[in-house]
Amino acid sequence: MARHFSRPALGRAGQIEIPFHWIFALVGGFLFLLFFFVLIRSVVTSNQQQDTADLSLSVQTILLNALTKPGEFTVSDLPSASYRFVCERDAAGILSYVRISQGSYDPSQLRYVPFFGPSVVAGDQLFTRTVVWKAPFPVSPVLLVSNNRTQYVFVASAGSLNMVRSFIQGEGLDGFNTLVISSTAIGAVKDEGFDQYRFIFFDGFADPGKAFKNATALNIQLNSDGTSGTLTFYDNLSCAGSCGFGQPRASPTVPFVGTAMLDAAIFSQDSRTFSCGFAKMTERLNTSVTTLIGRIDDLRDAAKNGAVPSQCVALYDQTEPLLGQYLTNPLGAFAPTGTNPSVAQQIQTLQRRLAAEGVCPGAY
Amino acid sequence: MRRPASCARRGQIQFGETIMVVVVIVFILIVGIVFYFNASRNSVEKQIRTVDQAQSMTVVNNILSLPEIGCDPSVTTGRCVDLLKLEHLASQIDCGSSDPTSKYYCSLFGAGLVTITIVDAPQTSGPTTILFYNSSLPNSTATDSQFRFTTVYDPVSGEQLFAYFNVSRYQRGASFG
Repeated sequence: MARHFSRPALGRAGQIEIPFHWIFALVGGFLFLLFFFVLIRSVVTSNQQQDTADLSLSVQTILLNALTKPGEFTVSDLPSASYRFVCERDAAGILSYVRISQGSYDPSQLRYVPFFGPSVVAGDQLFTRTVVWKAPFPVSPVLLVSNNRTQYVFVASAGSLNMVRSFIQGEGLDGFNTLVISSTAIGAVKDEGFDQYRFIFFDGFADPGKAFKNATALNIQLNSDGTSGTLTFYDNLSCAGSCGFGQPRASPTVPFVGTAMLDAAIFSQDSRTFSCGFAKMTERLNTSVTTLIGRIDDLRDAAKNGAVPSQCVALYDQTEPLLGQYLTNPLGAFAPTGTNPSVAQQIQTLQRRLAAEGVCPGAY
Repeated sequence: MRRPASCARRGQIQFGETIMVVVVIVFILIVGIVFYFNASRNSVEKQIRTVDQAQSMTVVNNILSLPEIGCDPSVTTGRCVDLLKLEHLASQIDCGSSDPTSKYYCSLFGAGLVTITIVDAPQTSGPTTILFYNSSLPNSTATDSQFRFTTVYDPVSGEQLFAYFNVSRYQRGASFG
């Protein structure tokens, strides 16, 4: 039977002769395949970017909804992915967002959401809890973010363990993976296979003598009032082998005021992200103070007009300049000066005096 | 070259049938497309309305959960808004400005109009409406209003007043209709 396909023939001096239609078919076929390859690749990339953007928007929605539920602990199921929470602050301002992959994202997506959590939250569940920062008047919601693969180890002296347990329960942190342990028993903490470990020391830093995956630490020095003090953040805790914490890198010590700010520090990855989130809270402080100053003015006018008892005027007169100090030096308002109580404590005292009068509306 | 008459006539009839079939198919296609487009439009409009309603409710929830306008816990334990705080906060929000306070609230509430009506205000002995927030978009129209009842505390009179939020969302561009 005769064969009809043409075969490359050997020409003179060993040259291979290929008919023109073969070359045409090869080039055409290559271009045809290339076209579909590029098309499929662009469709897949576009879909991935869309999925990432959708996921990023979902996380943003979860966080914004959590802000509207102060005091509530929520667990949200998400597609398994690695969520990178970013809050960066420099001279140009604050950039804050959640990023799932290298796909597109809005760098100002979470600009005004004061969230505190690990930098990377991997897994399929997102834990959130919203607390309110009070100074002593309510200022800002504080959003605590974590997941089911992060372990919080609270370390305190044997005498302080009950206080720490009450703090965890009172602040509603028991929904997160927490472990309370005596500092003398820190060596007994086991690696349970969590992705991240956060050690929170209430009575001084202690070395567990072994390495934990992605371990960071926070050392808390509480003042006598139990709601203020100083914080030292530690990183560089995860070293290979069984070297323990070794020589941890400590950040400069920063003050805190109010239990919500302490919660924020417990959940912050490091001092940088803590100060970035705190900057967002400070913006809210200015708004709250301006609102309260306007309110005090109205109440004083009402007292002068007889709508509010006149004995309240003197107390409002004392409150307004104290509130003004928050605008000039926000953190200074929380620090006692010598033997004098802090501005925050003075405002709290005035609030109590206004309440004691029985007829005066409170300052906040 | 001339064709036989009978052949020409038969050919014309067959061609006419084909045209009729094509016309009928095109007609059915056009009717289908119009029907599908209308159904899609109704579905999209319904979805937009649902999303708008949900967003309006989210805005009210956001406002009610703002700690800076909440009532003194010694006055009431439930969700309540302090009238004077509300008025003074409203005066600080200007979505046209670039200060962080305005940017925060404008990003939180989005494009919309929020008013609060006190049903029985003591000063006026009747309903009083306060404009809390207004951020419109160019070439936009306001959607249906959503209402949510709440309690407002007036620190001057010491009374808790019955009030409702009225939230409308702004939508850019013309509607489908």
